[in-house]
Amino acid sequence: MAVNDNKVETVEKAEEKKPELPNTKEGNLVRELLEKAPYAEGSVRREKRIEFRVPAERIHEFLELASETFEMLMQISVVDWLKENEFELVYQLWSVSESVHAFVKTRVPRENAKLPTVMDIWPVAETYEREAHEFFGIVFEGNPRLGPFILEPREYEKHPLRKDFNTLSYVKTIYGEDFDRYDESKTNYVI
Amino acid sequence: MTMPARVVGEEKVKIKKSFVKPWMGIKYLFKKPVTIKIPFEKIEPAPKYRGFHTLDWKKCVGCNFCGQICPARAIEMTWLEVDGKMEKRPHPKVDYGRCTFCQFCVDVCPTGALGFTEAYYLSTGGSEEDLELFNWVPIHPDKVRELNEKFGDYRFPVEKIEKKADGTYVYHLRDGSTIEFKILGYGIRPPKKPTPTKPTAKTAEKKETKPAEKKENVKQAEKKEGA
Amino acid sequence: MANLEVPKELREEARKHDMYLTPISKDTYELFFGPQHMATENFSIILKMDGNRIERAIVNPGFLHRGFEKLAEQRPYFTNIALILRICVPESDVPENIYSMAVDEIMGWEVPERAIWIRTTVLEMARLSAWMFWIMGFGNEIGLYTAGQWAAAYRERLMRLFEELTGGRVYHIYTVPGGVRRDIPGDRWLRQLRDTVEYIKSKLKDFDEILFDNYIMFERTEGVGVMDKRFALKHAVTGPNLRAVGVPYDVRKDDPYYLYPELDFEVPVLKEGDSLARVLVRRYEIEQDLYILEQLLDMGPPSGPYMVQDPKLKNLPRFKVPAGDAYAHVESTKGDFGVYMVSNGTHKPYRVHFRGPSQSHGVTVLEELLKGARLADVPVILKTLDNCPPDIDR
Repeated sequence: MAVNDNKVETVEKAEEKKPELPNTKEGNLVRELLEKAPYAEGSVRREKRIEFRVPAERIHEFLELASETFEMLMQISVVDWLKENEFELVYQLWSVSESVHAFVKTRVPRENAKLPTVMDIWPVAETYEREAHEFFGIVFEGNPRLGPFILEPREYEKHPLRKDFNTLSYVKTIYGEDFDRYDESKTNYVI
Repeated sequence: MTMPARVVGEEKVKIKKSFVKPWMGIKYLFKKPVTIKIPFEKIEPAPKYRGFHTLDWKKCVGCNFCGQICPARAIEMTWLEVDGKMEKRPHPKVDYGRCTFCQFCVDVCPTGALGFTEAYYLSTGGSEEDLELFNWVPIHPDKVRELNEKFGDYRFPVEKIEKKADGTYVYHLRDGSTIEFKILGYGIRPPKKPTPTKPTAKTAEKKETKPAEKKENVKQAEKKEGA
Repeated sequence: MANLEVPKELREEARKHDMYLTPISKDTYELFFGPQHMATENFSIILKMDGNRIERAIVNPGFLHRGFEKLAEQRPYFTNIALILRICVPESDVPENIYSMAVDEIMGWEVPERAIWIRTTVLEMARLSAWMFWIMGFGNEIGLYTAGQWAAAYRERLMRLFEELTGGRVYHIYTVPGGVRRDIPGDRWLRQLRDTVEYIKSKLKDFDEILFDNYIMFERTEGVGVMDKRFALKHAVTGPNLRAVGVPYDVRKDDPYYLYPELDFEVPVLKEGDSLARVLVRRYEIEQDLYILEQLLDMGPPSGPYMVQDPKLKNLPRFKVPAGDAYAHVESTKGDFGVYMVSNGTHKPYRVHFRGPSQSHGVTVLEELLKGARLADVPVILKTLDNCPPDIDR
């Protein structure tokens, strides 16, 4: 089962756990990768799930190392942590040979978020990065196709999946006040 | 016991192309078609098909669980006045322009007041009056079942919703009977002031005295609960 | 060079009216393919054509963007089930199931055995009905409409079963975190399911005759849209498309969930990587799905509750999930469908991010495969990749 602790605690635990990784397939994978990349932190979540935390400056380097065992990049998930003023990027990797899923997590500040592209490692990252750029405004340096992708051009600079984007007020500006059907009672209702 | 992965390759997966076999499909010419000839044939919805809602007004406690769980915000709580008496708790009003028929509202209803029937058929013209049909306070399940047994076509039980200027709604059911009530306001909290009712003279006078007192009582009761 | 000579008058007419046929040079023009075209379903491709050959393709998604991920952040956990299943129309149970699996994992719930059995059966039924849907689309695209009509008729039988089990035909809203919403209607339903499986199994031979053995199908698909193993892995192509290039990756075997470790089935693998290989892999998987359903019915549903017993479920609108994150994925007919869920301890998810299989094979891969293809091959490539635009847009 998953370890459901707070972020801070897991980081501390990972540091403590470093020498005592379980002697399983997953543990060995983490150990091997951490030997090559001592700047990262790694832990085993559960069977077939491992986790790494990498500083943003060395993410490209780390993913290049990881791509030897993890052949597929399944997704780049972005989580907007508004209170900490950070974006968390989770590179979801899957190893076909080892059947292990890896979360590679990195954090960048929300203002002028910039990261190197990983298109050169996995060409499919182009799609994921375009999506992350459009919805969160993260710039992936080296990706030539950043720009309006899924949204309409007029919505391009809005970055709607950020936590400070107010869906209701945006809808009202676009569709007018009459879109809100609850004029009588404005209690707790969003769109 | 865990089954090992069995990978099969070309020898089983590959097939040979044929010039003759595609003509074998001609045998279907002599078979009965599967098409259902609507409206000459009927299809019955499955039992417990998620159709229109029903509401037992007596059981409903107005907790707004249904409104909170609704993914489409189709439910809004409505304060009703039936026969000059205000209902003590608000009742859900369902907007079928928004409803996704997920029936989570029925699942969460703590008293089992909200239910659903298999009736699913509702189509109207585009005028304002017709569109009133899509926004209703569900009626008693027994009545809906009775109507469906009578007609057996799974249509919406109400034929026409008549909206009067003072907020009175008259539901003309399909068998000719009517349900009449008045909508006083929306929301979880009771409406602040009962809009002075000015319908036909005799009943209005009675209404104005009694419900006003009662409403205040309700308000106080609400406040007590809240505190 | 150009196979298709566009008449001069037509070209001038097009330029005058600024029509879709925009000639760039003598034989080069831009063609908007979709979203009205049946094969593209709900997205468009801008094709830079040189006569009949495609020079460059640009995928233009976004016609189906409904902001599910943003809306899911504003709604309680259970409510979202009625929302996110709309991502995948042909097999709406897949998003439901991965979402429920992710919540189950964060909650640390042991889902009851009966619910697990029902979920596995529902997933396999969904796969089967999605295959029927795919045969319909694929048959139509290569001009063999008869097979499509049959498939639609057989899918109707499955939809009747779903209707009885879940109360809905297309969007079932059935699997919820902790179990399922309703019990099996009774033994009669199980018998009906067995009958349907037997019926579709007996009809597979007819599909073979009219569609899969058909030389027209071979002529249309052989050698079209070829990709190799390295390319497929780098582009995170999954599902039957990956198996058609020789990688035996199947989530049901490699990251087993539900009852799949106990089920016996074969993973078909081919090496060619062209459209024909993708079709043949899919054809074989339909057989395997029927075989899996038979095994499930032989097993029979275990007795017990169909929903986890937890006092937290008393107040569903305020049902809270502890802080944490989880990734869950299942094998859909299109490939590896996953969800990454982050919870911060409130009654609404903090972030739900879906990984639709078409996200990887519907944009970059499609653009690469379309390069140099003929215009008539576009629907074939689209359908053999089994592209599903809502996966990209969400």
